[in-house]
Amino acid sequence: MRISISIAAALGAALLASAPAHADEPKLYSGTFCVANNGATLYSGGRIFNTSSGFNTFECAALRDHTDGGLWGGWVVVIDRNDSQSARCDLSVQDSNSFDLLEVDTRFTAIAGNDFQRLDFTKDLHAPDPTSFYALTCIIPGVREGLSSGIASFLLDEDD
Amino acid sequence: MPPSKLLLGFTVPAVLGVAAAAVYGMDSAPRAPAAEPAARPPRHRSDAIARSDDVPRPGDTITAPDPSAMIAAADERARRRIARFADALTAEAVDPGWRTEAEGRIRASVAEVAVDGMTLEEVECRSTLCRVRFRFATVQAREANTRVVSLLVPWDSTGIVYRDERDPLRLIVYAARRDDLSPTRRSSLP
Repeated sequence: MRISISIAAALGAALLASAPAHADEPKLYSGTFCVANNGATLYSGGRIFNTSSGFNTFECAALRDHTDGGLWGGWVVVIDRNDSQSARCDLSVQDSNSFDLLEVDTRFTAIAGNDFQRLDFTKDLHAPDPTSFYALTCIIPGVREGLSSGIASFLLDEDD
Repeated sequence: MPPSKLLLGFTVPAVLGVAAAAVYGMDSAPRAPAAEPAARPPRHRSDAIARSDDVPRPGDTITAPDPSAMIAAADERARRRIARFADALTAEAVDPGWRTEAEGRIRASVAEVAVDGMTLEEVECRSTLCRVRFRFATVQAREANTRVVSLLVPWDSTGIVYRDERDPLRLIVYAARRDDLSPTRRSSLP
């Protein structure tokens, strides 16, 4: 019995030692958490698509439930079916009073219409003010050869 | 999510459970009768808070945070952050090759996306930073595009976006040449 407890303790200690240096709380959202600020859109299968011929801007809602921390980064899965224009997304911390972006991390899809592409936000974003909130914004290219581009999902990794 | 998180979140209890089961499985001694179940741990942080002694009770005096003080502190932090970017740009030497390329790419990107009611007023890049000034036809157009303008810098970048306190129709963007070259990355200032 004593040996078994020691084994269990050792296993637990070893696994705890492999824990990340920070506590994170990733949250995954579907593309339907996003809204378009202009142009035609289609919500389908949990995704949002730009059905207009030109660029469309999508703003995505995200929860901030730990107001004493920031973000460890995240990612967004973009559906880029336009082989001549890139989609571009940024993750930011937005001030709730001035609406300034206190910190922005911007990423682009490879140009070539590679369909599903994951854009990784690898930098931690400070959120020193408890009233600021997280903002994911994407500019999505227009329809090309009958195919719409859009956002499939996104994940924000909050500092717990 | 890193694998270690997965291990920590789900595997530890499972491993320990398996280990414990193995222990009891090998033990030929009769098991003791099950003890009374302990009180369940809270399922969520809010449950724990609800049971904490810190929770106000009827009759307690509650002091709410002063919103104006919070806003003033946030504004001051924002001013320091903007000054850090402005000072960094002013102090930089010019990298002529990168400056020409970066400013050209920004102008091309603005022309490609073509935001209604917005004009590109000025682009200035040096060696690690660019400052871009956008002017809008109306305050509403400026507000609607606050989250758009940083996306007009056409490379993976970090930076800030803010309205010009002296001109309500202007947004200013600072964007770094690379993530690790942002002034906020080079210092401990949040």
